[in-house]
Amino acid sequence: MADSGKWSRGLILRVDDRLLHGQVVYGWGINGPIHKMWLINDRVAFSPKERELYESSLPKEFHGGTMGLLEAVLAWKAHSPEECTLGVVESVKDLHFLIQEGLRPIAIHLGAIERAGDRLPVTEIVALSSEEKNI
Amino acid sequence: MIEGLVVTHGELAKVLIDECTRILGPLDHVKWMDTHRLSAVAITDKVKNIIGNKPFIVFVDCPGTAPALRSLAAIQEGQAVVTGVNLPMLMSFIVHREQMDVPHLARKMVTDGIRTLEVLWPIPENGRED
Repeated sequence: MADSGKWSRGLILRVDDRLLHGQVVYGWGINGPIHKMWLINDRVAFSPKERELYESSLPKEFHGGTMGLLEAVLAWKAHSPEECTLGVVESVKDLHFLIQEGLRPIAIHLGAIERAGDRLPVTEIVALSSEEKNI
Repeated sequence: MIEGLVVTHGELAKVLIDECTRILGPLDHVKWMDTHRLSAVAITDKVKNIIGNKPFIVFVDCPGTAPALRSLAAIQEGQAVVTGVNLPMLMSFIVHREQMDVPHLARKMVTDGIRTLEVLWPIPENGRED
């Protein structure tokens, strides 16, 4: 579980290929330090059905929702978060894009990344391809 | 008859159904599944395969978690997902499922599930609410 006392403000970026699940909602959100939660993913943001699915599953006490990658960049440039905010991206590639475009998180967290394609296990729950490791 | 599927982290679903069976007798058309070690897509596919397009209520443990989110992605018109599954809720489902349609039964599940939550000790200052 995320340490509630460790972070009080700023952006934490988490890579998690499920985007939203128990560890995110209960570990980081309801029982953790997070006040706002954004699921940053183009596939979800541009699909009304997916967007509704994820937004309806976010606990009501969180401010936030879903946004595309570019939308996240624009939001960051408009104002960096004052509250402790979790941005969840689906892949290391998406994380890399956000960092290259100027987002400066106070912490990066590798959540669950499933073994698929040429990804090999790095920990029990994280698998990375050699390209992702280089990033 | 409205069918039921209980989807939980680990084998909680199986235990709930086993205990419900112990209390009420054999249950027809109530299945369970465990999401442990299944990918998001695999959970959705498995739920879809079980419920098809039949009238179904899918019971899940926690809102915002993979069982809830992936079941929500699997359901169609005439089906529902209810979160916070517990034993009294399941028993109410068995007793009332032939008297209601899916939306009414789903709402009743929530009411009956919530009704079972209370502090037994210490006794509330104003006494118990009946």
